[in-house]
Amino acid sequence: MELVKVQNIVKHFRKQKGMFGAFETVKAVDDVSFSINEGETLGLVGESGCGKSTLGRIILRLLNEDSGKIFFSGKEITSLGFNELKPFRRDMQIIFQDPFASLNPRIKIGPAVAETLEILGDENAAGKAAKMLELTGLSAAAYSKYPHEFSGGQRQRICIARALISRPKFIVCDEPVSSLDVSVQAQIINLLKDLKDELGLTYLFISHDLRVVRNIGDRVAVMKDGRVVEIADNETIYKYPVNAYTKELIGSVQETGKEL
Amino acid sequence: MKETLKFIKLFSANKSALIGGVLVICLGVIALAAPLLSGYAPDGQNMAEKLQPPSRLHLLGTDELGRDVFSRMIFGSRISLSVGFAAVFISTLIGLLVGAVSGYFGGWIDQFFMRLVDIVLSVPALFFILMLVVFLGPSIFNVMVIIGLTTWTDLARLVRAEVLSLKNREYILAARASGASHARIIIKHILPNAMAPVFVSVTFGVAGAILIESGLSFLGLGVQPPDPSWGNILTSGKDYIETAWWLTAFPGMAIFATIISYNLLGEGLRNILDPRLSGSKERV
Repeated sequence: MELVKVQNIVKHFRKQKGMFGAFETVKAVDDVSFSINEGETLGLVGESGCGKSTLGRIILRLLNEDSGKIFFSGKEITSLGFNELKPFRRDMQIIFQDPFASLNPRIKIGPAVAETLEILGDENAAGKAAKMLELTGLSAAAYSKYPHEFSGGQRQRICIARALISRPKFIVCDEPVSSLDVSVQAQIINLLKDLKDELGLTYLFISHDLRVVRNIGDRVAVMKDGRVVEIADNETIYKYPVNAYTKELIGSVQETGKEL
Repeated sequence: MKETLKFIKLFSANKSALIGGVLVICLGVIALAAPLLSGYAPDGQNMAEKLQPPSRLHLLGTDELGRDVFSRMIFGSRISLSVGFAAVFISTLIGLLVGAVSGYFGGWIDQFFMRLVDIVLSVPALFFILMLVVFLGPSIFNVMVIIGLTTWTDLARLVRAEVLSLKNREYILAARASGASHARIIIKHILPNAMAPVFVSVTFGVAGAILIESGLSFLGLGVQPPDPSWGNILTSGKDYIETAWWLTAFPGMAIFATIISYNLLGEGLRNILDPRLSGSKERV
């Protein structure tokens, strides 16, 4: 069953050179459509600046689209206002690339993880946050510490706990391992896989690294200059790529070798 | 806790912060303990002892009405400091609000507030303040409010710049993904991380406000006699400057000492809180 459906999404950024300069249009997302089935991991690959993060943010309504529609569980969410979106916030969350920028340095881990539940008015937010920290492989003692006391990998676990606290159905993983050491990358990917099976999650997994996506994705969408140029099953896309850009991407990975 | 300890360590290692801090605390204690220290009522006249030079009986001499200058000055410090703090409180409140809203929401809201700041800054501050005082009438309360209403612009710009750099951090996006309201994001996630430059600005602001208050009182547009303020002690003393130097020298020195201690503290705080300016690698 379709959980997320993206329909003809367009997002252009207008940049002005100086106060009176000419406008320059950047087509970050240019008429993109696809859908993600429940329980599936869709990998979204492309070089940096191709619009994949922008797309992820539009799907979660963190950024407004110029045109197009997003459906979540069959309901259109693109036209919803702040309050109408609230019930959906519980069901869709995000994990960011830089675990150092994605935690507020002045808020302790516990309250940071519990925030979504606190906003939703859950009385047992603190208890659930402590449990979620343990589920993501941290000790309950992390609860009353500050972010700067943790390493990058641990911080990413905290961010995963924060994303999962409201028991969402859908998570946008926006390059969640790109800024981590290779050894830690594997740990975090395995954690994401385990949690997916355990909690029945659906992922949109954004990465510039084909090897990472190959490891975790069921299907892969390739994005270039704001457009999805190819979308296919994991196996198919590696063995029989159709698009020239996809071939180029796969070729570059094979040259550098090394599977993750 | 760790951060607090580190702050104390950096603070005591920074000479200007330490000297400024100690002086500021001394001034505060003197103002609070005024009735205990003075020995004379600040408006108690004694014509038999008028215009006496400093002596054991009158530490800083007496004025043309035989009032004890020392007593007037320490009671005056209460007024000067409270005008300084109240004015800075008002200007900080406005500056924080305008800066945060402007930086966070951007667009036409930002344009509107920043052009307003430009307009306020394009009128010479003292002229603006004098005009308002003339319209509203001089009183301690009016002076506090007017100084507060005319000195928020620098802070608003400072806060706006800080908010601009913070609002696209990923933890802000994460909070939005959690359904946090704009108010919650500004209050819980942005402002606590933007406070360092605010503290520095508040410290300099107190010095600036005290200076403006002294200037206004000197011109007769600030604190009105018989209430003592350093500015109006100075102005009544200027008629006797050739015969009774103590009437102008001491309040002048008091204003100077207060301004310099707040500026030293501000300078020190800036060095501690903003390593970009001091070149030091440590920061809180």
